[in-house]
This record gives sequence, C-alpha cells and structure tokens, in this order.
Amino acid sequence: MTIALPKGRIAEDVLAIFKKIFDEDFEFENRKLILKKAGFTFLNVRNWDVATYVQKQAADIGVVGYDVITELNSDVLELMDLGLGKCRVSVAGIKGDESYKNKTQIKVASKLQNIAKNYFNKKGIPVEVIKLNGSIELAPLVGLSDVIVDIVETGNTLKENGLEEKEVIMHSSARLIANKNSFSVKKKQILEIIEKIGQVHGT
Amino acid sequence: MIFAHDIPDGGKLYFGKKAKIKREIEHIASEVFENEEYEEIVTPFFSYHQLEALDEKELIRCSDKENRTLALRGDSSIDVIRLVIKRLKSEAKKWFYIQPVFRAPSTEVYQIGAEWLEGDLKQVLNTNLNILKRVNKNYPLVISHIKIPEIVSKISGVSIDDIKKQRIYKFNDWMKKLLVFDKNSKPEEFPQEIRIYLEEMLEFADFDAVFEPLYVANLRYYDGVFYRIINKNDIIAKGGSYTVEGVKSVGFSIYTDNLLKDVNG
Repeated sequence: MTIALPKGRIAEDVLAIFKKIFDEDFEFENRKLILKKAGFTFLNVRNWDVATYVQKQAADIGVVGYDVITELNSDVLELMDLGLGKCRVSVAGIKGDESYKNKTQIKVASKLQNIAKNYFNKKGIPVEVIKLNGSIELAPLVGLSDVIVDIVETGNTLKENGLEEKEVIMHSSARLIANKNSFSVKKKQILEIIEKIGQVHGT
Repeated sequence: MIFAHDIPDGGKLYFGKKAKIKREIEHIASEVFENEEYEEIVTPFFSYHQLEALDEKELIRCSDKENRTLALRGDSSIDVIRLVIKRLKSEAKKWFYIQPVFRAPSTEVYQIGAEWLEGDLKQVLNTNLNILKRVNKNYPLVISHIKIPEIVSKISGVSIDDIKKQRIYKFNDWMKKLLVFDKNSKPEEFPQEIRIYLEEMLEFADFDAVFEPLYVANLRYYDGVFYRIINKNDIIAKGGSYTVEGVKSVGFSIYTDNLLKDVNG
C-alpha cells in the first residue's frame, strides 16, 4: 500500500497517527522522499501534487486538503475527513469597503481560480479571476483586484494588511483520499486503515 | 507551433510489434465471437444518435448537407442495436464489432464489443472473460448495479455526490455495510427498496468478483447490473444491460488500447 502525504505539518500529523497505530516511529530521514515501514510506502510530495499521485495510482491513498481537491476537481474518492489543517476559503477585501458588491464585474485575485470562478458564477456575478501564486493579500491594496479569494486560518495576515474576511465560500480540512481502482482491489486493507485511524484519532 | 512529428492529443499510433499484437488480439476476439455464433457488424463513423449515449461535450460534432447535427461515433452500442432493429431488420440477436470510437476534442479509443439483443449478461460476461483468457489475462472483476446508488441516496438523504466520492464519514451503518457487501452477504439485512437489486448482483456470485453496490457509474444507458474489468489504473472492459428501441439487451466493450498496454506478445 502506497500513501502520498503532503510535505510539512499535515505529513507530520499523519505520521504521528501511524506511530500511534503501529507503535513505532514513522519519520522521513533527512531529505528522503520515500519511507518504507510496516508494509506501507509513504511518499513525501507537494500538497498540490498529492491528488495527482493518487488519481494516477502512483499512490493508492493520500492525504490532502479539501480545498485542493475541490480546486483541482480531482477524480478520487474522499473516504475520510481527518479534521486536520482546518481552514476556510473566503472572499476578503479592504476593511469597511463593500463597493465590490455594486460592481457589474468583480476583479478577484486568487490562487484558487476554479473555486473563485464557480462561487461567483453560482451567484450570477460576472467575475474576472486573476491568477496569483502567492502574497494574494497585496492585490486589493494596490488596485490589482477588488477582492481576493484565499485560504483563511486565523485571519491574522488579513488583519495585518488592513483586510477583512467578507464571505466564507467553504470550510476545508485534510481528507484521506483513494484511487478508485485501488479502493476496488484493496478495499479491505484501506477500510482497516480508516478504522484504525478512527480509533486513535477520531473522525 | 505544430512539429512534423506531432499527433493530436488522444491520437493512437501503433506500429511494428504493437500493431501486430493489436491485430492478433482482434483476431482472437473475432474467433471467440464466431465460435459463440455472433455476427460481425461495422457501423458508420458518423451518427445522428450519439446524444443518447454521451454528453454533448464529449462528442466531436459536425453537420450533414441539411445542416442537421452529426457526431463522430463516440459509442458503438446504441448505433449497433438501432441499425440491427430498424435498418437491417435482422433475425440475428448476437452481434460483435471491432472498431474505434471518438471523443472530443481528439481522442481515439479502439474497442472490441458485443451486443446481444434479449441476451443474458452472465453469458456475455463469460464471452468477455473468454477473450481475455485467450490472451492469458485474468483481471479483477467488479460488479455493480446502476439503480442502487440513486435509491440509497433517496432513502438515506446522503447526496449522490457524497456516494460517488465515497465520503464514508457521511454514511449510515447499513451504507457502511454495503461497502463490504460480498457474495455471502444477505440482501434482507438491507432496506427493502434495494434488496431486489442486491439479489440481481448476487446472481453473479459464481464469478470471482468484487461487489460494489455503491459505485456510481457515468454510463448513460445501462439500466441494471453492470461490470468493470480493471487492471492497475485502467478499465480493460465494461459491460451491462440496457434497453434500446424497447428491446432489453446486454453487451460489453473491451478497451483494446488499455489491454495492449498490458500485453507484450
């Protein structure tokens, strides 16, 4: 069974869960990207690539944020909500400025282009989405966009830059995902892992 | 820029050994079909009726001389049945084809398929397995039922999208039990509305198969039990029952390109 984990905090949390389940250490050594232990192969991949590894069956299962699989429209099964890495995807803008609500077309800066576009499309609001790769908060401050759509955890970064959360689009947390064919042929093993995670971590 | 060596995305190019293996697989399939008294049919590449089988965004469309919409064949089943019943008015019930289908924008899919009017799905599955056996292949078989997820959604209140994505954390106890449904499971332990369909699935208990009653299929015309034969991340074959022109029929398609990836001669 091959498991794709996103680098960083979530990988550490998931490996800690496996440590509890199997009562032995699971840690990627130095800069190694593959960890083999207790019959599992763990892959240490970038957050945005986890769903691709699973969809293409380079990994049978993986852990990734719901925001990422929604943005990528990944064709994977979303078996379990791990409740880790909780955050919101929200519309944010300059504090006290609601003028974007009266515009005939809103300019939105975001890394999450599809989520932003679908949200405003569903509301029937014409939107131009400007794709940015980081420091999204800067866009409304320099007039590049009217608002942003971004991940909000505590809201501190927004506050520090004179912005505020205006509309919550979705709540996100880490999901245990599975490849469809892997789930068909390795169902018993995958359901066992889910049950054990549930026992030590809850759902 | 298009280079001299470029072929369109989804285009298939076979040459040398692979092309030979492809021809041999198709020959083996035709032998199996002939032994089982199937008639061969080759249908037109262009069709007026593809929307019955596929979503319009999957079709490669154009117009006829009266500006009526045509599409390159994206699925063979509907056309085969319609032509046999309405145009050939043939007495023969068992038909096979070896021909490609096309999907937008430029994907080609080689298929070996069978349609059996008023036929039996178990027998058609055996024919499918016989072809794979002749090429020394034995893949996992997954049995599902097109009606179960929809009914489960209705009676449980869990959305069809949650079932499709198998968001188990939203499932109730009997839905979780459906995840591990197998040939020894008892339909009477599940809601009455789905028992008859679970029983239909269990008619396939003599096959070495995985049962997935909650699998949500993107198959527009199947109306009962259907199956998938899978290998790694590919679908090798799909089959099921359907009703076209009021005639209950069964059939399957082998995805030759996926099978070829796994056959080295």
